[in-house]
Amino acid sequence: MRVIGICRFSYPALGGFKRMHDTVAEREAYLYEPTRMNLRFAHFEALTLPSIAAQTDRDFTFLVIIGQNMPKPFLDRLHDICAPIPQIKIVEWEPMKHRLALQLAIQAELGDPAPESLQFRLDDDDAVGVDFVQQIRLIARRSERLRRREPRMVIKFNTGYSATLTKDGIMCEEVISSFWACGLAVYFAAGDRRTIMNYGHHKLHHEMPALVTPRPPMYIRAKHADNDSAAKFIPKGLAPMNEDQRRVFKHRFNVEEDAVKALFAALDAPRGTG
Amino acid sequence: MSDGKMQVIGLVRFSYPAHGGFQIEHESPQERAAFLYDPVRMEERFATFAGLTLPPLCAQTDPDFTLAIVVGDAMPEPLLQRLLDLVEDMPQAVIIPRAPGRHRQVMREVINQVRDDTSSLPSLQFRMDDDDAVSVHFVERLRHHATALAPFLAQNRYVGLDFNQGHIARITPRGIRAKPTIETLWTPGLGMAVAPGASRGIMNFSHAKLARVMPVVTLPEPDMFIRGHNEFNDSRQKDGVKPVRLPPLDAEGEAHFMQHFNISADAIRALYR
Repeated sequence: MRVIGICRFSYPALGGFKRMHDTVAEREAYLYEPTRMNLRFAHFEALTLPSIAAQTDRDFTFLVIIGQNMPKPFLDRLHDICAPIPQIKIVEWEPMKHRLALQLAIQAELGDPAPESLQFRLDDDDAVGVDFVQQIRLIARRSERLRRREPRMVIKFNTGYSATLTKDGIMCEEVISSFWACGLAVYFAAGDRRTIMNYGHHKLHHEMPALVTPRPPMYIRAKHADNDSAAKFIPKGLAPMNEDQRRVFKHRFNVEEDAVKALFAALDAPRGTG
Repeated sequence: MSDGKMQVIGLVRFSYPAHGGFQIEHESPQERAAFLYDPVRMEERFATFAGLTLPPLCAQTDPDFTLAIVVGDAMPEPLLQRLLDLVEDMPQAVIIPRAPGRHRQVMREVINQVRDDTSSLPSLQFRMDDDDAVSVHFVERLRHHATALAPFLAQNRYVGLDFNQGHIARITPRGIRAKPTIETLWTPGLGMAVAPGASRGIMNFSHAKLARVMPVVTLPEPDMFIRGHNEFNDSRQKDGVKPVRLPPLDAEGEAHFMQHFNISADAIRALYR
């Protein structure tokens, strides 16, 4: 069974952002602005990459979708930091509506006819549990007979953390979210042309069976000034992490507070690419 | 059960005066009993129970289940007799009178009383209020999905099995008013697989928060439940809850209810005559 994760990294989609731009060039200028890019990189390196690198089941593909005009220093940097993780494929894609682009990228990766697959999305500032791939495979296997009539199925881990990263460390809060996109995978049978991007994550459970499980905590979702849905975020409830949480972040997500401090301290300092 | 099938247990509270477990507060058990057995309220409860709740339970496509109907031990004799008469032809029904007690404790005892402790398989439990209904396929589908999930159930003490699609309905002297709904973790569509020997059951968890404490499998099959809305609906008694607007069923809708729920609009109209 193929397991495919997909993540867009400052991909200049047509539509799909809360902040609207008239042309692709305008959107690219906004996306590739150095301060913003450095913030994205810091989160990507602090959260997304370590959690992907430490997957206990190594048999998966993680697609990082980027635009065709990412400035060379950023492009080189992205390739450098992803190079040690063999599951990552950086894919340049022409500007399209973001759902369509991701859908086509998943289909291209699966090939035709598509083999059976488990698909998941991850934002470039989220982390996923280090046993996510292993757990979704296990649950998919244990629920195989449930899918005899309804071949698609959602597997969702509903507990995780919200976190804000700074040079002083990690502020976090335990959260429960039944239908966020993070901590969620969708099973598709062989030959199915649909992908996880064909569905709104809030409505998945209206269309197919959903297995929602509260343990273990399976995602970290960053809250920061550049979040696309920042307008909706109210960062109350976040507190500096305690010793237990520090252990959980390390063992369940391969996210270390010291590494976070270093990455975000560097962000404040003047740097060559920025 | 020694024949390799999971036991299915339904639990209905029929005006059982528990301590706690209700959202309207009463000063004393007497006061609560006066509220519960008030003739006007009783007429409506019996009408919905006879018109909405029982018909689909009597017509289950898989008749292999137990229905535990919990009543207060102070239920007036004529009312108890009327209830007994209603379920006379229903071999699955067991009426269990109980003294007022702590809601969760009493419900746990009731379920354990009807649970077959010799089985090595999970029991499948569901609960309804006396103005709810389930599809005529409910027991069949619950057992079907649970059986398909057996390897997963074996790994978990409790697993919620949540049919999330059904209808909100109100019965009136003119028939049925209803509209379709999709709701996560509403009680009439909710079942739970409980491992053998596990001490808690469907009534021991807060249904809306179930997915915080156990895995829940949401099953989007249509027409699996009816949530009754009436004047006395406990969870709708709080201030500021507006009545839900429900259009009357047309002939096609009535036929649909007959097919999926064995609920007859004609029989409901007759109840009020």
